[in-house]
Amino acid sequence: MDIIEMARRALETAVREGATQAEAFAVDSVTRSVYVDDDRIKIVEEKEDQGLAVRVLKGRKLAQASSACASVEDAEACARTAASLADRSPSSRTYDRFPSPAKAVLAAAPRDKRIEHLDVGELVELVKSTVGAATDRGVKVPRGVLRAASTTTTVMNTNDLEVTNLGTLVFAGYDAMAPGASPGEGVGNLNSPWLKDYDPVRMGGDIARQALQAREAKALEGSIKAPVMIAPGELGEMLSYSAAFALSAESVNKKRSPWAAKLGESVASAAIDIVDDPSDPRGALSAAYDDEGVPTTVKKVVENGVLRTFLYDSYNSSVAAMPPSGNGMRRGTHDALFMFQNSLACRPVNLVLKPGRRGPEEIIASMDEGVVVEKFAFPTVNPYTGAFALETRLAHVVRRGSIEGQIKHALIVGNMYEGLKNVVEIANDSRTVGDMILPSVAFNGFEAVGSK
Amino acid sequence: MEDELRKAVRIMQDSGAEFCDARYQESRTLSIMVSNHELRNMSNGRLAGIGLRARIGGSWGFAASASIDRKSIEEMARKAVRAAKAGDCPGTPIPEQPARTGSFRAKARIPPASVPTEEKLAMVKDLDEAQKISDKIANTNAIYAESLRTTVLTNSFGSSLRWEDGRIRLIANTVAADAGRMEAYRESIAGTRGMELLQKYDLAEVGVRTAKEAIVQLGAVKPPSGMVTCITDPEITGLLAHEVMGHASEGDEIVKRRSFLTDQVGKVVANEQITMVDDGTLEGGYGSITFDDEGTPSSRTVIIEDGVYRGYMHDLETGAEMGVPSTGNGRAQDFGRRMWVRMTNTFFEAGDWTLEEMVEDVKFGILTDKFINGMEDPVGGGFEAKAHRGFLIENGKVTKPLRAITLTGKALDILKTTDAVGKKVSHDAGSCGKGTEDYVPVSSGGPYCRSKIIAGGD
Repeated sequence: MDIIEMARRALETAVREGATQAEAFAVDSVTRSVYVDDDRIKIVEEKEDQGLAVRVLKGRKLAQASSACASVEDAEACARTAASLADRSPSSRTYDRFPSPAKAVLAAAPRDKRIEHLDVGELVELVKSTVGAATDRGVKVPRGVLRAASTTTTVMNTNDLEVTNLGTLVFAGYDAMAPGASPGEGVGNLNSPWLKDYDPVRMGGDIARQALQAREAKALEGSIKAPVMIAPGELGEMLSYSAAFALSAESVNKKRSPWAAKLGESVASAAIDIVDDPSDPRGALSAAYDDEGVPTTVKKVVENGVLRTFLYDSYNSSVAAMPPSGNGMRRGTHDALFMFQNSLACRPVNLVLKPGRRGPEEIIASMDEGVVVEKFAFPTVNPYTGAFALETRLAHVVRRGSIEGQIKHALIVGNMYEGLKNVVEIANDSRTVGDMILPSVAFNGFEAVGSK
Repeated sequence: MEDELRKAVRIMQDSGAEFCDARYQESRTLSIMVSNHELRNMSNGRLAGIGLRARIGGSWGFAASASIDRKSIEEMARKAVRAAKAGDCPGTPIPEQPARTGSFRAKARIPPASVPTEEKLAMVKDLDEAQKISDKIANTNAIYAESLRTTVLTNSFGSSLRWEDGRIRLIANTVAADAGRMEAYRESIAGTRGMELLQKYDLAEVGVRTAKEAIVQLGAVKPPSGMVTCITDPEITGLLAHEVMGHASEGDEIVKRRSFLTDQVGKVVANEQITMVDDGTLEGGYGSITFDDEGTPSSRTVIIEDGVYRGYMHDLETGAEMGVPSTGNGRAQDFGRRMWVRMTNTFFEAGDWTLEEMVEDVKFGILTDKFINGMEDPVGGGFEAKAHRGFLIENGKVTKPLRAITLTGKALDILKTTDAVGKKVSHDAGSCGKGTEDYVPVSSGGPYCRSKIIAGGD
């Protein structure tokens, strides 16, 4: 029995067990991955996965159960567990209904047919190209992974809603090492729905360059108070901890979003336009429906620096008495495995930061002094305050329009919410990073503090 | 199930696997979250399926599926071997080992599953409610999680094992707000025990304390920047043990010569007061395991002894590469994900200082309190840890609260400056990824330690 039929049987079981409403999120995925260890193909894997998450409402009592499903008995047991947990749940103040059917307004999820029919040998050859491009430059690849997955996710509920998103996912992550007395490390990541976005030679060349530059990087002496430009890979993570947190209606309803009372107010420089755009084919999670079956829409969330709206899943829309905006998400951007286990979260589908006109090189050429951060150790930001102090693993010092040299182990200290109000310039080198598409951005007000 | 797994092992061997294993895992979880007095999560999870590994040369083929019928398993076995043949990694054969057999239950006096869900929900609601001590409390959160994982493993050595790993965790997290400023604080209790662990605590007191500390943080000031005398609390001490010295002592990093600790065995790497271990047998430790995911019993590995570097953690493969036995550190997030050398409970052992003695010697410095996160740097040996908060130390006294602090520097430089190691060790539970994925439950910890560290924060 396929997973769709199991989901139907789960809904029937839930109703038999007293559910006033029931919802099933059904996943069927195939993942192929190739891992590199020390320049060689270490692990080749193929994984199949199917499972369900069942939500049950009994009046306003809500509960969920999830299960890998090898048989219809697994699906029915999952529904019975959810129904039994709902009996024990206290009633929600507001939530009593799963979404109703509604027609899609955006295009279907991007789906790469090449991935659906991929032979794992093709992935092996792509990985070998990447490793070759790095080792040709005298750099080792101690570890790396290239993963391609095709997923079918179906949401159905007892309100006659039934929608299916067919998607594909590519994830690559590599570490490179330039050997020596003080080795340098390069890190490369990519996520996309399209295998064509994975350029193996460019990936290998890029991680090799980073590793070689990191090997030569010096400790910063003293400090630099000047514009700091942050590369998309690092900035995406920082904005995920800050802006995406602040935009979620979950944070707003819990009174912990620093933007909770700022609708219609300026929260960023006028140059900042952020759109949640589930129609963008570059987006790893772009789709016509969210993971509750609500049609997704294009939403201007920050327009000319002004906060326009928050993002709502069905629960938080009931709390705020607003319509859901198609932001109830379970799917992930790095891995398709066991997505039915993920809790429903109120978060962006695909946040797009509008690019500027010039490339990073032109912006650097116009800097009198500055720092360009290419890699942080772990780019997190305090979501409540926006504060951060992040160790650089590779950054470039700019003086009089040119890169003067590389630094590592310096701290970049600042506040991301304040940084968004002090944007110097936005570059045009946009790329997909998790559930965001964004370019490099230069900020005023951050400081580089040396380790000497 | 054992019969199906044994058949899979036979097929992989017959198809050319030099070593292979077959694992069935079934995990069951219960999560309850109450936030601002409203239930936000009441969920049960079940993850079950089979993972098959086949090794040829130094390459692995891996196949996984939720399907557990005989035909699917047999096809997966052939697929795993085909995949192994697609690799090109040279490797040392894993030496033959005695077969291990037996069945082992989780160590819980009061198994969480034996306690009614209503009681657990009441506990979580009480913990959430206790945090609402003032109008300055903006957001209260209480989270309960329990898990029980059963693993059935057979391998080409003839081992046939079945064991359980059970965990329990309770978290209080409060957000306080006043005059446009917001700060948070958290407390957690966790371990590989049953409900008896939580029954030791006055949970209302835990909730109140969490909320009080969140309010204290509203008055915190910017931390000092630059090299300072820093007394790291057990969580930050543990982060240094785990993120830098621990990850860099994982055998795969050594075999690849990617770790800054390669070839350091026998050398002095820290002050003589420092001893550090990874101990998967620690009673009740959140990272404790009966067996690792390859079926090797967990063990206690001394990594640094009295300042001298002693050795590495291994799985079957890295042990074979280095001619030593596995230390029981081969772990995987679940049956569908790759096996790596991973830590369990990693910590510095106790010295003989009290915290008061450490503080009174400090003219100007900081005392940290709890971690936010940290990042490994096995290549460079760099330490990056974010402390949730800290306190300023001035003229031998703890004075003002400090906002979040980032600590950085070279781990070996820091450990050589450590001049005081506290008497009492405590451990904090966490989830450790390797790179950006493959998360396994671990703990890290140690005593208060006094060192020179570069600090900064906003």
